[in-house]
Amino acid sequence: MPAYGWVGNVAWIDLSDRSIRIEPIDKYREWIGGRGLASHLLLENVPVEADPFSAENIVVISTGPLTGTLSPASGRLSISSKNALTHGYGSANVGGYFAPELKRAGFDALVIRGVAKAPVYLSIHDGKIEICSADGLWGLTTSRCDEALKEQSRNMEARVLCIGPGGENLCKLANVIVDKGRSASYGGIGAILGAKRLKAIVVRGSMSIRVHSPDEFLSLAREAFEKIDRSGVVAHLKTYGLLAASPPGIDGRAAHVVRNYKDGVWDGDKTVKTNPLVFIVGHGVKNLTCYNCPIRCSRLFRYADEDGTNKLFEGFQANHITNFGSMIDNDDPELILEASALCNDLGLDVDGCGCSIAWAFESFERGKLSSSQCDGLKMNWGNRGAVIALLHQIAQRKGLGDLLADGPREAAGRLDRETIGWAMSIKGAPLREINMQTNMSWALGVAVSTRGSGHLNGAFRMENLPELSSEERKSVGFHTRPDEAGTSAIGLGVAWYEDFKSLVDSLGVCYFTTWWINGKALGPSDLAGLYRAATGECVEARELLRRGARVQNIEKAFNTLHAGMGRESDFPPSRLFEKPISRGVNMGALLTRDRWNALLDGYYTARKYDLRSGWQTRECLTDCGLEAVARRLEGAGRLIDPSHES
Amino acid sequence: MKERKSDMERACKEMRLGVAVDVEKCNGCRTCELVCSLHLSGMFDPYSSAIRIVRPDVHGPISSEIRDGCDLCSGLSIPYCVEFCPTDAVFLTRVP
Repeated sequence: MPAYGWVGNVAWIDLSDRSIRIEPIDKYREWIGGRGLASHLLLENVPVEADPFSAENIVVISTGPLTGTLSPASGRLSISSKNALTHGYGSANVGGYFAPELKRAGFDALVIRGVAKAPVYLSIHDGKIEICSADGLWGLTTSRCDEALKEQSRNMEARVLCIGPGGENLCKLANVIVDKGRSASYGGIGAILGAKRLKAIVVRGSMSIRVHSPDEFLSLAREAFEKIDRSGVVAHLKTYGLLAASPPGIDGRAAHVVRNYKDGVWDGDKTVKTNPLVFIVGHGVKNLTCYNCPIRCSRLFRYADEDGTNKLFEGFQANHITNFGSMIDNDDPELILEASALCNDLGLDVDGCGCSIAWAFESFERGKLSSSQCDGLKMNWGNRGAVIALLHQIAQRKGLGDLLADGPREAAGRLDRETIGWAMSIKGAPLREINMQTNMSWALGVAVSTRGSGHLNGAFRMENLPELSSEERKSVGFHTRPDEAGTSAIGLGVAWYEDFKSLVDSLGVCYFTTWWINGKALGPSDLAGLYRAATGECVEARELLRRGARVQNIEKAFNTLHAGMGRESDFPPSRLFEKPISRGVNMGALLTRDRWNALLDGYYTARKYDLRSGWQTRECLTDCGLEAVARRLEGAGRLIDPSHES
Repeated sequence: MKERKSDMERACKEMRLGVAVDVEKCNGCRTCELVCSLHLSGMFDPYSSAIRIVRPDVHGPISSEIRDGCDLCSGLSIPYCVEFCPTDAVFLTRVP
């Protein structure tokens, strides 16, 4: 039977014994693909006791059934593994051109386990996978590695996914870079590949991708492109690109994070100096795009490094302005650009590094780090020399960088437990978010995110909701007007967006084309239509959302089993409960424990989790057909079954 | 259908109409290749597309190629590649 939507193959690659086994995708179809497929494979194949850096841990690199098709923005790739920072679930997602190329090379997903004896890379071409020596590549920056592999494969149209020195040196803030500028950054995924001694994957494919109903698919794709265009997403993001969400935002209300979250408002002149338009107009070169994407939110930027040399880089985002700007109290746009570009080249997560460095600056300021521990660096807020030097040290795990490479939470535990009070993290993952005290639907979604902390799961923007019809709003869980939303409505909304985002990440398309960013863009029914026409499977939007809920529940179970997470893991750092925003439009904004507990209760109720422990109940798992997962949790003593309680 | 296609191809040749790409406007998303290959082969396969967008360096210049086989999507007033291009980089023109 021809594979429609999928190309039909999952490759299991064991780097320890260099074996490669190809398995049909058919048995995994219920997991859709991308993040959904990865969640199932990780729960089933990674032993609970496995260290993230061990041979037993697996990395799942997966596309979805819409990847590489005419469905808008169909270039997304999921990279998932046991999380180096939280020891729970880890999943990153990246655009570019690699994912469609992997499918055209004949593979829906790669599952990588084991540890190579010496550094290797994978060469994939039209159904054939080779494990090759990475002699000559190990130690290269990500951009140099990309160029070297293209030269080596004598194919400049090949696509490269690689790690930099950060991943090679097992820095837990290391990411994976695709196409020289797109980063998959969550969960220390670069270090996981580094521990496997896998430097890169180069892929080239000339095979075709079939869909079940080509004419219907063409018609639905046309409607989807038109809908995205009408939504205003294209006009907005092609102008502001990935900088659209920079504080103070278009409406002037977004809260900053200043000096390691000491405050939520920054000096006006500093805000002006680092306004997104400063970068777009002063440093932007041209818009760039991912595969088959009408939005083209990415952009090439020009900057001058410390030596004054002009350089170009892609992948600059709003959170970079925050984490190398207000977070470390730096208002020099050149440093923000240089530090962000350096992170990409060294294979480091910008947000995690900004967060670690801010913790170090504050620890120095409070006398917890001495000058000698900082190798004589001038650790005053925003110091350009210190920031650049620390990034090199982090990537090489040298000097203070060896401490910072583990992220602020682990670094604080190693240095002095008193510094944990300003190690800004959730579940052990660096906190990278603005608006934590001002936007509760955002903050809740960030805090309960299965991958540690992050807005790319259930965090949603209440301001999107007026764009939905009242019927659509009800389907999202909002029966009230958004401005009247109480904690239970916010909990319902976060739970709904978690399921929806799980679905989007499993299909292999970009969330920027969906309700996640704009209520007039693609919703569940649009995606269900494309999925049906692609795969031939008769399934309604409701069932696809249920499958999204399964992904969410598997990731949650993984966190409970592997990292012992519960209700206490879903709290933001204590600083956000202690220091209100001092002035400006958000003056006085502060989290309170009562309010947070009410938000968690609302969310757990929506998800049918146990309110006291935060664990899953038998009901929430049987609702989405995960009885086997319930049995595993029960065996571990971490399932709540109200019917068995006295 | 085949007859109509060849009629269209002949008409295009007589009118010396063809598709062209303004590479300055093109962002390299390759949507044109996808929709063209779906039209010509019923599958997503850039190699069976009559329009090719090539960008060896993801940050570098773009070049394009129109191959034999383009029927200007016979029967349609606007070829798919022109209709779907998000930057209006693909257009109908008189060819030399």
